[in-house]
Amino acid sequence: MMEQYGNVIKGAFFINNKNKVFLVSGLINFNPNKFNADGAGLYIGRLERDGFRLSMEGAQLINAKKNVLIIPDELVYDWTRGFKLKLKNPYKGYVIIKNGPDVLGCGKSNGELVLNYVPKARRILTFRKDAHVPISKD
Amino acid sequence: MKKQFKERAVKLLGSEAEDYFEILKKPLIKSLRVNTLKINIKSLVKRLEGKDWVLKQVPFIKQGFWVLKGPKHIGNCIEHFLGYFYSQEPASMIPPLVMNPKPGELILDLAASPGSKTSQIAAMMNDEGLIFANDVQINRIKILKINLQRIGVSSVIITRRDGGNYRKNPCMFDKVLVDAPCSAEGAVRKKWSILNQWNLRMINKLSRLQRFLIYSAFTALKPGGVLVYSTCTLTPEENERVIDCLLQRFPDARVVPFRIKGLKTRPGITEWGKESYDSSIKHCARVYPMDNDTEGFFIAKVRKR
Repeated sequence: MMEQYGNVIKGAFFINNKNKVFLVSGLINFNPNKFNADGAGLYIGRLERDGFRLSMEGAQLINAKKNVLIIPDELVYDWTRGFKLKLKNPYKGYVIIKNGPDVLGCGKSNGELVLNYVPKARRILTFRKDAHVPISKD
Repeated sequence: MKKQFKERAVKLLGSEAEDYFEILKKPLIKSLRVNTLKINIKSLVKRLEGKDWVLKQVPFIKQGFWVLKGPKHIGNCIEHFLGYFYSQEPASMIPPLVMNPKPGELILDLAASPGSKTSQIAAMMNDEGLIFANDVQINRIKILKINLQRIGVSSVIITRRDGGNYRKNPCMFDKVLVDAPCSAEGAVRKKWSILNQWNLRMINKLSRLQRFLIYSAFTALKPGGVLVYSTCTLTPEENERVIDCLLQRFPDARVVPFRIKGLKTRPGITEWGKESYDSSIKHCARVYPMDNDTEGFFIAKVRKR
């Protein structure tokens, strides 16, 4: 995390068999398996071959110093709807998406296009007339 | 409105029954609870008011606000997307207030989905301690996970167990919340169709399930611990009768009085039809919709000696 985002999330972690990382600070004395748990802690990201892809909450917690892409207001609505962003930027790989004080999650940039990892269940789906027209669809 | 429903309301409320029927026709005002795990109250209020929302403080909880003016669906805005607030009815914010969880405690929420009270408990504990959030249905578990993730709760274990199964973990938890499945009579203002499904057979069936859950929850509670039982219904069979059965079955259970500043409540009833309940049940609270302009709710606080 330090290498990729210039900061770390402190606490205890649990990694499942899908390489998903959970922050489980309160669970130190408990083995979730003993209770036949369906889930435990806060999902903060996934270990991928090319780096650590943070979840939205992971991105909000880490207070990143590196690889932070600030997007303009007119792209925020596209991002929250799950669209890729066409935006020239100096980053390659996983980036934290920010607008003002809001951390909007984590994407993957190739310098021109930023892939969107906002989960489907979380996207804003309502139609808004004044919304910015999406550049490209996921 | 069914005739039997009306008759029972008149029996419960007497001359105030008409006020009750009137308020049931009035839709609920949208409301939200600020998620203090991600943002402080002042900042969110300032931000939403900057977007022309008109908020009104809920008098009995500082994180709660009614949305007098705002978008049609308050869940479809960026602040909700970021987890800065939870769309929650003020009456449903009462059980965690009564429980008063403290950082470091071990809590069980026996019927947790969709997660409004679990996330409120986590915020009150500043996400320090541990909450077992349980529900029995896989679809409800999915919703619970999405909501707890959005709110940013890390001190949680989610389990999918029959609520009765927790009796296998005796004397484990400091505090337990049983927000039991109910006939939802108190939520008529949100969904009028509840009245179409309303019938006495269902109420008695639910009452049996509620007793089963509360027995299990009480067994899982540590001596000296607190159990909060709540429903969004006003039928005595699902409320006072359940608490009375608990008191009869567990001699170490004691109903504790409580008071929340700014909230108007009425005492639990001790007689209903041919049944009479333990006198301490008057310490339970009935929240009628017309008293605080909320849903109807019932809350009981029980301590294990």
